[in-house]
Amino acid sequence: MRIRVKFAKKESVRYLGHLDIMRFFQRCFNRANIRMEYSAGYNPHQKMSFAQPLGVGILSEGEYLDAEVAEGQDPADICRRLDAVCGDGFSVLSVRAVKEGAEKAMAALQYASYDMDVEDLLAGSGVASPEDFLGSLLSSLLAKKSVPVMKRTKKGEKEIDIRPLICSLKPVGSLIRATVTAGSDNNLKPDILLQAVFADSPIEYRFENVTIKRRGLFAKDYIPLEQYQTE
Amino acid sequence: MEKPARYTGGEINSVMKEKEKISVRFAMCFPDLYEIGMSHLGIQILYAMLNEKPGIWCERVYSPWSDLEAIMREEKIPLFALESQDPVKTFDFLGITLQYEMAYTNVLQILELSQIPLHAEDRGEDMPIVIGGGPCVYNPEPLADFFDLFYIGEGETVYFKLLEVYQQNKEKKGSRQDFLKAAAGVEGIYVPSLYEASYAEDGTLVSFSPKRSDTDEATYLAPLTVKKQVATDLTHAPYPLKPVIPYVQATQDRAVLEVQRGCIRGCRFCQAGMIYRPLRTRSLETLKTYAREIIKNTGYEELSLTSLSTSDYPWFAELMDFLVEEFKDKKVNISLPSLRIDEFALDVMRKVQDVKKSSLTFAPEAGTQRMRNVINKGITEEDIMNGSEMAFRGGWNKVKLYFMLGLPTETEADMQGISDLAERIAELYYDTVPKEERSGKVQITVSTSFFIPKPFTPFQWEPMLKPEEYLDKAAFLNDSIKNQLNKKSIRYNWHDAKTSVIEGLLARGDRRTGRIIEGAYRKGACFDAWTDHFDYDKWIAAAEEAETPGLDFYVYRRRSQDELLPWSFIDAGVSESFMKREYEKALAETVTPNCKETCSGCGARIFGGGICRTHDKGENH
Repeated sequence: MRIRVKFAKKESVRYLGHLDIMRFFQRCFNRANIRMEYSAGYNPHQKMSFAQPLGVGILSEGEYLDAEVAEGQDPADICRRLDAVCGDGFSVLSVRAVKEGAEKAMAALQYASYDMDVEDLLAGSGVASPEDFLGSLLSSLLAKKSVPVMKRTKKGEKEIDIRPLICSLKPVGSLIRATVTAGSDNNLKPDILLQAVFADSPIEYRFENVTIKRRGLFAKDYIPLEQYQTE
Repeated sequence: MEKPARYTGGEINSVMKEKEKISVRFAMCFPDLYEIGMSHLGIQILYAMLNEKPGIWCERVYSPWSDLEAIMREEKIPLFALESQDPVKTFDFLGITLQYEMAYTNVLQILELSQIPLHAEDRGEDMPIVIGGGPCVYNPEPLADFFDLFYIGEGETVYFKLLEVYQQNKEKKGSRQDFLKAAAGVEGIYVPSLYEASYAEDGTLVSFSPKRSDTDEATYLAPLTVKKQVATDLTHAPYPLKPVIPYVQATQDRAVLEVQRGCIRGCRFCQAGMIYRPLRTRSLETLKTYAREIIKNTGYEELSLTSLSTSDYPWFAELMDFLVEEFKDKKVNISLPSLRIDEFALDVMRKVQDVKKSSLTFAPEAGTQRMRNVINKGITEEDIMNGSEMAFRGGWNKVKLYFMLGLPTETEADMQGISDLAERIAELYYDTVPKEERSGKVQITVSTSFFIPKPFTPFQWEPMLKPEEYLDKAAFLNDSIKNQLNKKSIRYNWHDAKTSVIEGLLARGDRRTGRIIEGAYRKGACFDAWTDHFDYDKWIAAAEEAETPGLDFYVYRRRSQDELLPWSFIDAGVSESFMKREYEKALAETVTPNCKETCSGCGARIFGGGICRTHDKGENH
């Protein structure tokens, strides 16, 4: 049986990287005594995959992992048990069974939405109304036909156009609320987006001065992953 | 910044408490990177033990890596404990475990970043009491100026007593000095500022004794000797069944089961084998319960056994059978320490490891039987050849061999012996395994470290060689291996000779040696245990500038057996007369039987525990 676990990453574990979180959840399943399916081979591993790695320093209220568990276990019970052993840094929000033959979360993933709080970035800049200031920055960005940025790859740097990757962008107080494409092909990292937002402004963008929270991950038609092909 | 989660705490099983309800705040520090420190069992034992008490809150501190250090210095942020993120300087105690000498400069980094004066004498009433523990405190003298107290021996015994004395002093509104004097009365506690040393013209120590009271000349302020602390009943000693599980992957990222403490073998170069005497075991039933509990509480997918010479654990076979059976369906791997290779060991290894990937490990430490007799290493060439043959037949083709170079009385023949042994093992493989059954070449890895004389060993009076002389030995061995028939099957690597010499300096230094440590630190030495951080030239420059008798005196000199040694005031149980006897036997190439066979009267019997009791009662364990 495949299950889809939705969880939140909170402030106290903000600086964990993806590998740390993977290892952490493997051990959560063990501590919660949930019967798992394992890969074959000399060092069997739990069959588990994450929808999308979450960067160091980024919070989330909507992360997903798919796991293969032994039949006959109740998703709601798994949810309670996982939440009980995952400490204060994480919350397990829901567990649902995934339908037979459904895509894995990482394959189904199309969009991600973020809240990026830039209050600290604007502090001392003399901006009277962050919402108005951000509003004009964002609309000028959205008005562009293309937004080229340099992206670091394994082979060096290459220029990509991120404009098609931006689905929506609006200010909410000192927050920038964005929905962007996600997944293995068209992933737009919030860091790259923010660089582009502040590129033509007097504000010096620094990743450390922004609090980024992923609000959720979605399949096609903006269906939240926990509702996509699940029971 | 690299891996900020090293510094943010909040791990599963870490302990949070309400500050208002705490009377003693203890910062427990491993002076190295988080990943190293979190792999250490000792801290986990003491952390769990201290946090059992409602009035005590023990938190953890590790060395900040250079990226965080730069920020802290720039912004004047004082070093903080992981749990509360409060500055260490606001704590009652800063405990620093001293596991290896090459971490000594890290100790100074910890103090400086904590904004605690480096020298104990400069610390005001509001500063934490800085206490050192761990195996290096069997010669605490090089660090004497930097610590208020040292705890000599195993932490399970007198910590609560010490903290009680602290609280009583606090209630009486006593001063820091009052507490230090009272602490000196707790068995096992050494207060360096209450002792004084004087030296002869030639630099040697002529006297070392506690200071006398100002008011009463006849009274010493501290005991003449400080007795090592031993947890005699290991089965009932505290053990962390809910260890802190790091988020950032630790170097040893697994559950740990300490099966016993101490060693019966008595290798003459081995400090651990002497200072942890006597051998004490945990009962089999206790270990079974602990293994189940720890795996349940942590979710670790690997469990490792730890102790010196684990094959000597009396119920090793029963324990292994249990672990293999218990965890086979739970997908928990059992990681084995290096075992004495016999049919049983191979059988166990086959059950828990992939034969193709795993390797056999032998630590003959010396290349000839003569040399092994000198160091009392009870392994024969026959043992190694038989073990290898069995393993080769069983499908193994990787062998690791560990040796030391520069041992007392070593000759070229002994070094050649290392090379010849490796060659014979290679030949044995090709003789044993028919061509069609071989999975590639046999892979033999020879590693050598350089012998470093340590306090409380029979070789504590021995000189070391100069780095270039060590390297000549490594070059000799390297050439010799390159001339063997099967040279392509043998890989050779050796330790850094310069690091060995500095380790030797710190291991047997005295109070004055602290000046070199401070000098090296001021020149930028830190993380010396990390090969790419170690800078020999800084140490040599510091040694030349500091007012000390220098490396010739501390490192390269043969010490007289009549000499007062800087660590003589410590009573480690193992007596100086035993070490002198052992030294004579070493020169006579005579082996001393292990503690299970017979008691050789080392002195550890005074602790009234462990293997010594079997001789008292005339039983076998």
